[in-house]
Amino acid sequence: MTQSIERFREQLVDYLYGELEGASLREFEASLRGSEQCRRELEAMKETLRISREGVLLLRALDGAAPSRVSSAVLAAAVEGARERAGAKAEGARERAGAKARGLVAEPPAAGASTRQSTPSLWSWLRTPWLLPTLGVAAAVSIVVLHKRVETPKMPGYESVSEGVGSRAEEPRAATERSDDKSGGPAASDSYAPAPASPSAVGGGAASPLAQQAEPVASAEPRPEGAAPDRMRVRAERKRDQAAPRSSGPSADRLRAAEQAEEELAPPAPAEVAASDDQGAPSKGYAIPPPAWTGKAPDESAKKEASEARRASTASSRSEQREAAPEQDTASGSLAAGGAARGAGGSAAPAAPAAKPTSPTRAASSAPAPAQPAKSASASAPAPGAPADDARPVVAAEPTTRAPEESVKRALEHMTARRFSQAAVAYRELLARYPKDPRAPDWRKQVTEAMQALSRVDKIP
Amino acid sequence: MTAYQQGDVAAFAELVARHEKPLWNFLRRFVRDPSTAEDLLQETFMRVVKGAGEWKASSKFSTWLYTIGRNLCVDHARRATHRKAVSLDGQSGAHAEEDAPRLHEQLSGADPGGERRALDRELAERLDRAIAALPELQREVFVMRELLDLPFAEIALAVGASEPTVKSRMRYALERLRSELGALHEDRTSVEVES
Repeated sequence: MTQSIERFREQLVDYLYGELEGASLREFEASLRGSEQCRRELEAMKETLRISREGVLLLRALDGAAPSRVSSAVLAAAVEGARERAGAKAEGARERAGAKARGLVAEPPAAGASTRQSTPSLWSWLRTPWLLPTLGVAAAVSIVVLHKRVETPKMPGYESVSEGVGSRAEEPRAATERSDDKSGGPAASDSYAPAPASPSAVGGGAASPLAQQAEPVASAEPRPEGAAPDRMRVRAERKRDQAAPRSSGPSADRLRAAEQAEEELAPPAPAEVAASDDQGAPSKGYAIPPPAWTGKAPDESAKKEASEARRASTASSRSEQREAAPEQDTASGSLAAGGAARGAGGSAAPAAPAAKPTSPTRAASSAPAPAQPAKSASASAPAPGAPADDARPVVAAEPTTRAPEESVKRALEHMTARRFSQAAVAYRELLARYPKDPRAPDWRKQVTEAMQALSRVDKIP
Repeated sequence: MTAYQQGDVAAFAELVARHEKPLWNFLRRFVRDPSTAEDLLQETFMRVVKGAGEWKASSKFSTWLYTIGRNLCVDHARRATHRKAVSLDGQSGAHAEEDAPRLHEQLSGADPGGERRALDRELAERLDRAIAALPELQREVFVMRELLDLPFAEIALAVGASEPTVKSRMRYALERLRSELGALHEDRTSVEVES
C-alpha cells in the first residue's frame, strides 16, 4: 500500500536534495510507482528546481560585490577590537598573576603584563589556603583559654579558702559594692548578720540560717590574686590540723591566741559596729555603712604576732602529738576519719553554709577591731581588745559539759560571727567529747573551714 | 575566526573577503534595498567584531554570520513594515545607481544577441522577482539554500526553526516559484528543442 500524498510531499524536498535514504527512500519510491499524481508532482518540482538553479547561476554571476566602504570600516573596527581584546587579556593575566602572588604561589608576571599591581580584594585574601587552618588554631586556643578561665574558680580548694576567709584582697571592691547596695536584697543584708550573742544588735535576723543564704554572695566574688599558693598553704594547714591535738595544751593555747589576734585584726561586722556605737539602742542593722577601705595596711606588729603565734603553735602541737599520742587517739582518729571522708568527696558531711561566711562584712575595713558586742554579751567572751595571750579564757570558758545541742549552737554562733578560732576550738571539743555523734562529720568540716579561714590571717594586705 | 580571536587581524580580513559578497547579496535580496543592505552588512560585521571573544569554535562561522545578518534583517523589517519592497530595476538612492547596474543591462551586456541569451535575461529577471515575491520565511530559506548553498541544518539554526519546518518552507517556496516560472519553462523548452 502506498503512502499518503501528504507523507509523499513531506519527503519530496529530502528526495530532491538527495537526503532521503533507507526505508524512507524505498517508501518514497514505492509511492512514485503506485501513484501517478506523485510522479507528476515530482516531475514538476524537479523542473522548477532546475530552472531555479539556472536562474540562480545567472543571478550569482550578476551579483555585485559588496561596497568597499563596508569592508574598510569593518576592518578598521576589527583592528580596534583586536586591540581591546589584547588589552583585556593582559589585564586578565595581571589579575591572575596578582591572585597567584597573593596566594603565596611565587610566579613571575605574565609576559606583556604591566608592572602595575592590582589591589588585593577581601575575597582573594579569604581564599588563601592558610587562612582556615590559622583560624582553626586560633579558635582552639581561645576555647582552651576560656575553658580554663571558667573552670578555675570551681576548684574546691580555692573556693573554700576564698569564701571562708572572706577574700580580704577584694575588700576595696566589696566595700564599694556594699556602699552601692545598702538597701540591697535580704540575702546581701543577711550576710552581715553578726554574732547571735547580741540579739539586739542583730536586728532580729537569725544568724545561722541567714548566713547560709549568704553563701551565693560570697561565691560570686572574684578570685583574689595569689590564690594558688594560698591553696597549698591551706592544704598544709589542713594536714597539720588533722595531725595536731585539738583539745588542749600549749599549742592549742597558742593557736587560740593567734586566732584571737586575727580576730582583732579583722574589722567588725556592721551590726557589731552599730551595737558598739549605740549600746542598748535598737539595732540599726545595715543602716550604718561599714567603714570605708582606707587602703592602709593593718597593724603589722599584730599581724606578725599572729603569724609567730601560729608557727609556734604548730611546732609545739607536733611535739605534743608525739608525746601524747595515746591520749589523742580518739580525737585525732575521728578527725582523720573526717578528713578521709572529705578527701573521698565529703559526701557524708552535709554542706555547712555557715562555714562560708560572706566577706563584705569583714572586708569593709582593715581598722583594728573595736570591742565586739557578741563577746561582751557572752560570759565566755574575752575582754574587748584583749591581747592574744588573753585569749585562753575564751576557750576555757566554753562549758564542755553542756548538752551537745547547746555546744553545737554556740560553735555555730562562733562560725557565724566569724570567730573562727573559737569556732574551731568549740567544734574540736565537740568532736573529742562526742565522736559518735551523727553530726560529727559536720563538725569536722566546720573545723576545717575555720582553720582555712585562720590560715589567711597573714595574707591580709 | 580563532586566529582573529588571538589578535590576527589579517585572518579576519580574509573572513570578510570570503563572506562579504554572499552576505551582501543575501541582505540585498532580503531587505530589497541596497542602501539598507549596506548598512546591515556593516552592522553585521561590526557585531562579529564585538562578539569575536564569545565565539566558540564548535559552531560554524558562516552559520553565525548569517544568523546575525538574518536577525538584523528581521529587526529592520519589523521597524519598517511600511516600506515597500523595491524592485531591482526600481532601485533608488545614489549607491544603488552607482554600484548596482540594472539587471537587464547586465544580462544584455554579458552576452549580446541571440534568443537564448534573451531567455536567460528573462529568466534571471523573473526569478529575481519571484524570489522577491516569496513570503519572508520562504524567501530566506530559498536564498540560503540555493544562493548561499547552506545545508538545511544550518538554515534551521540560522532562522531558529526545526529542520522539517525549514524543508516544508522550502517546498512551499518551490511550489510558488513553479507557478511563477511555469510559462518561462515552456518557452525555454521550445527554444531548446528548436536549437
